[in-house]
Amino acid sequence: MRDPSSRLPRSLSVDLHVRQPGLEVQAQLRASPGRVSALVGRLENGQRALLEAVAGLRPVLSGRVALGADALFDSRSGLNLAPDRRRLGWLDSDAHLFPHLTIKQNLTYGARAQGTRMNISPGMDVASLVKWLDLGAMLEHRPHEISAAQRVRAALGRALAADPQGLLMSDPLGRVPEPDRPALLERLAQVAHRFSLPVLMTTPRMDEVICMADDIVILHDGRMAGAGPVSQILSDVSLSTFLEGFHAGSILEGTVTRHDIEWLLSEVDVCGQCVVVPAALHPVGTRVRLKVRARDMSLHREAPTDSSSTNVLRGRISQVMLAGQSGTYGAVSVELARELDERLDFKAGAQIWGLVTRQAIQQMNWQPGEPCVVGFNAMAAQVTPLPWASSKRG
Amino acid sequence: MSAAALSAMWVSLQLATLVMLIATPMAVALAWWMARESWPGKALLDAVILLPLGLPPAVIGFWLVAGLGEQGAWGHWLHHDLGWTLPIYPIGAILAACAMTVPMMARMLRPAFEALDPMLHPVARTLGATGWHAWRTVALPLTLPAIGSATALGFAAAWGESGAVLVLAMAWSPGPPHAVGSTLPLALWQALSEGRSHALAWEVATLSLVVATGAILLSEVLRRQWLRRWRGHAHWRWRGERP
Repeated sequence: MRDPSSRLPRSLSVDLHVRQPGLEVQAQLRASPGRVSALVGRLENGQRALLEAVAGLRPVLSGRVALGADALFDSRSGLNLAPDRRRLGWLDSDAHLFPHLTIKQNLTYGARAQGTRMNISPGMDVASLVKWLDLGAMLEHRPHEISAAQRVRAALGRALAADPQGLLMSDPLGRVPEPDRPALLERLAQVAHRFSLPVLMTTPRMDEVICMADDIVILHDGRMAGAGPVSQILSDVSLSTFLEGFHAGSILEGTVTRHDIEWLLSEVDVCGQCVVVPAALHPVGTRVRLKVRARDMSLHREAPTDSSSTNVLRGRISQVMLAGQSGTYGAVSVELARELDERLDFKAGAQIWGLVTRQAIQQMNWQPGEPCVVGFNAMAAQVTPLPWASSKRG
Repeated sequence: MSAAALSAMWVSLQLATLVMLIATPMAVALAWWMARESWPGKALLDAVILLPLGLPPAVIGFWLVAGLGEQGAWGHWLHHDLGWTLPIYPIGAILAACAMTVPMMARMLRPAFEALDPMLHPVARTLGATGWHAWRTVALPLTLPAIGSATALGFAAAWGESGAVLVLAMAWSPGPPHAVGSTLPLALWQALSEGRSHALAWEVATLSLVVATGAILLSEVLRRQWLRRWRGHAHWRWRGERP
């Protein structure tokens, strides 16, 4: 019998040193219940190996994995719980549904395997999972009869139905066709909050990180190149460029304030300033993330009067530096003015990066501390609800 | 049908059934283990396990005699210190037949285990299944037809296993083997060597043909079933994949 107190959601902390052929991976990360930590890198840099090690599916050189205060693995004390004792759910791109069982039997596999050890928490029961994941129509089918997106949903349901204490997702959408991704992504983004689980994930696609993750750890050559909240890390021009290359930019967090039905636009409040974006389906009050590419930004001294830039954000320049290979262009960081609304607490600091030519830096003579206006087209912003915001809606 | 042929068939049937019961779990365990991740030196061990396949069966029989016969290293110890001599039937014959069938069955089963999605077992573990439970509920049902196919072929092989058993029989009892305890191949050999009952030889040969045909047909049917099942599962990997 499990201790009833172990039902309380606990955070998952990981500090591991893992070897895979040709690479040694060392990283620390942590996810509180209801929050998602993403492990990303430009290439497959041992992210999956690290998640496998957390699940107990791969030998580890040294380190520690713990749920709350309870260690699941500790190389110093020699503790190494088997995967079935760790109770961390696994989801990856191949779903790995049991091909000889129906979807229903797949969903109940965990309960059967654990027998009396099972101690289902409310909301985790199969019927409500089937409803939430929309699996009702395929319960009697076998995995090869359903689509890739449905298989991932079924595999997610199977993992959740086993009453896990945390969830590990390794590129869960990797094999789902492009058109099926957004709907599935929205569900995945709700999982952590809805079930109060700590979630660790990896994916090669940054839009999934922006949609799902609260915190991010960047791996490069098996080492941590950066870690912190998503909006902060992905708004750092060097880390963002490293991860996204051409699509590098900034993440702004804000709240939907108004929908313009006539022109099909939505307004988002960012640091007390209004950003106009193409109509988003998120209701007024939803907290959202705006992704803007650094190369789509234009910098001005005064708000341009004759320009296609629908959005102008006021701020002051905080940093000017050379970027690109051997400094072929410049990167300018602008701190957004926030005097309009003191209540918003942006610990991460709303910061926006623009890429400009060396010539522009020279001619405009941009200096740190100077007031500045950042302009961009409404179409340049990509809107995603914050993970916990979308779960409130669902 | 003569009493001698019937008795030989009964002995062969008993022997093949016993061998099947012993060899199947051993072959399944070996194949599962051989199909898992490799480590340095594993190829050598794989080769040692498969070695009996490449050796003349008579050599296996010879080694059994050399090891466990009255004059053999362990046999001597068994005989003198424990007062026990390895009888040709059933233990000697079972050992000889197992030594021949286990590697063959393991070799047949290995592709079945290698074809399994290697993540199925780990995923079952993360769902809370112990290693044994995961194996019993995932790997076993998925490879059951292949195991059935290997068992049927193993049965046919054990039924007809003669080389090693003949050597054993020769070494143990220099005269013709006793009527009791002679398997079908031994009975055939006996019939021919005594040169008197060709009718018996024919009977024995026909019986063997019938049994072997049945076992091999069964093996093929099960193998096809496994292949169909595996292909059925394999094709969905490609559906819905990114272009």
